[in-house]
Amino acid sequence: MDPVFFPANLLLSLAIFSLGVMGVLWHRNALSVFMSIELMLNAGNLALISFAQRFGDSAGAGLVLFVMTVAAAEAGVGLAIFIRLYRQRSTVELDKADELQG
Amino acid sequence: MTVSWPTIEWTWAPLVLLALTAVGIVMADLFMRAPRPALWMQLGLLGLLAAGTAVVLKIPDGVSAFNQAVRYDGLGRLGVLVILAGGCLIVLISHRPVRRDELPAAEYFALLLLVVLGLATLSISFELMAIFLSVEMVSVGVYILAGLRRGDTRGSEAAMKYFVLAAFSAGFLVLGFAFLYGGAEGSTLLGRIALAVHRPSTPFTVGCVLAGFALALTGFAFKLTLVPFHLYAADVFDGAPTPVAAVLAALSKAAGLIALIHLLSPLRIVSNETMQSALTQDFTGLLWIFAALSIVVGNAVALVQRRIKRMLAYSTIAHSGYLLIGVLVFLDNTVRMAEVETAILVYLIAYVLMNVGAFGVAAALGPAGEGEIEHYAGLARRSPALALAMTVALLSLTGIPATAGFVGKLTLFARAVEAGHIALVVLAVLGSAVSAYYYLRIVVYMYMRESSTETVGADTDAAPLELGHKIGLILSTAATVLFGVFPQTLLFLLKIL
Repeated sequence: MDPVFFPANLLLSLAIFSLGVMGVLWHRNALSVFMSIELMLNAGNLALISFAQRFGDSAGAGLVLFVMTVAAAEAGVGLAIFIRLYRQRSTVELDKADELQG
Repeated sequence: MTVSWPTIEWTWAPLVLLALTAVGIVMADLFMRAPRPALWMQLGLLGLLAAGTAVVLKIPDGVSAFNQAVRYDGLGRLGVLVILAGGCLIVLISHRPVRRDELPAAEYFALLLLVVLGLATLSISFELMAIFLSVEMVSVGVYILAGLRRGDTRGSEAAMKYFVLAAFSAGFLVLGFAFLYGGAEGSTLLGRIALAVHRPSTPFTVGCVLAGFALALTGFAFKLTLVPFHLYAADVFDGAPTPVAAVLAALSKAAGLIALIHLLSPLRIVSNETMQSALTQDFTGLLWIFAALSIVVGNAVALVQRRIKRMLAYSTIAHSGYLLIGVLVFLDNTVRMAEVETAILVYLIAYVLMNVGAFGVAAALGPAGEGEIEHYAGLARRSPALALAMTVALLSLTGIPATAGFVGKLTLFARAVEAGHIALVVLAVLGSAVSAYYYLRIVVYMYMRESSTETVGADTDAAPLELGHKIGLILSTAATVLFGVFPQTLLFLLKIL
């Protein structure tokens, strides 16, 4: 394992994570927000897998598999919620969901 | 040749039992011609009680399993019991909403059991993978539960808001865990992370541990609704079905707090080594700010709320601040570990009981009682028993003597003073004084105001309360008073269980 590439991997992961956070904060469409969240999760996965390779340990790679499975489960439930919301109000803009602010 | 019988692995038997009950309820529902809400409720209760019995009888203190990934330490083991007992109470106070046909019974109780299962595993997890999976098990379950009410736009909105913020916080959790994994040089066990904290090999390791704890703490701050990560709480509580809001308010916070204590346990000062105590100082400062902000903002914003569940949401934010004082005391080594754990458990038990009481009464009153506070005007005349249960819960939330809430606050704040967090305790006591205004306002409404005619019209509390709901409210109210008047009973229970 070339030690030079290791910090580069981490920096890339941090960059993707920051992009994800900014996306969540800037986007108003629920689907775009959800895509940004997926970006954050995958940035975490990249960091995990880099560490796993660096230390020659398989637990990190195993955790990545779990994170991916959980992300898929979240996507399933999350998209169902969005579809239901869309049926009720014909929009998934987060700003338009303001029935509860009282 | 001897035949070796398969032995039951008791360490995970309670967890498997809960999962099987949940799956069993969903499967059995397929074969029923008519909906059987009462049966699913009884099955759910049975599963929770059986799991609790297994923990009490078969799992001694300090047992671990799965190569140290799961450990029933003092706090975690009793925490599991608190969560299972709280789960029983919440199953009971779901009786009226389920009977009124607001929620599909089989799916509701199955998901509720799975969420309780996730919370139980969360409070005994000592490994990053296990913590992450338990957190997500709870989150995904609650997304569905929050939007489960049929044809309800408010519920969908609550589910969407909870989904976006919980998934966002999961992102922080994953990256934080990645850095902790790197800091421990390739181990996900909290014990190995503790080694890395005490004997860091390189500056890089220190950086990883620091970043890991900071990111993971951010993720947990969302789950525990700490200010400034609290903004979704009021909307989610208001829109979600009331028993689900009770799960989020009481159980999820109890398990989250225990998990946070386990996660931060590598930072507990063992001696004044320079590296570790410096790291701990940083996080103590951060937690201090979280606690102070939550107490101030939670209590201040609760003052102006007009809807009961929004008010209770801000009250739980303030209570998270009080609970964080317990974490701070835990990180300090001036107070003995066992004493801190007892103080935190006493507070958590009181907290679960009084929240179940308050949300249980709101659920009993139906849509009107889950809305504006004005609806509580004259409740003492209309249904004196419900008004009494609500009064006990609210007095306990305020921390009036002779209620469990008072005992919880007293033990926790006493330990905090011992550990030298005097400024924070003063702030918490002032916050409790302020909180008396918004809690007792509802008591005044119930006993000293006449109900308006439209209120009586909107009432669904005219019908006699379902038996399960009644039992749930009686149990939580009686326990709140019993543990408040005779705190020894609570300490005795903690000792024998």
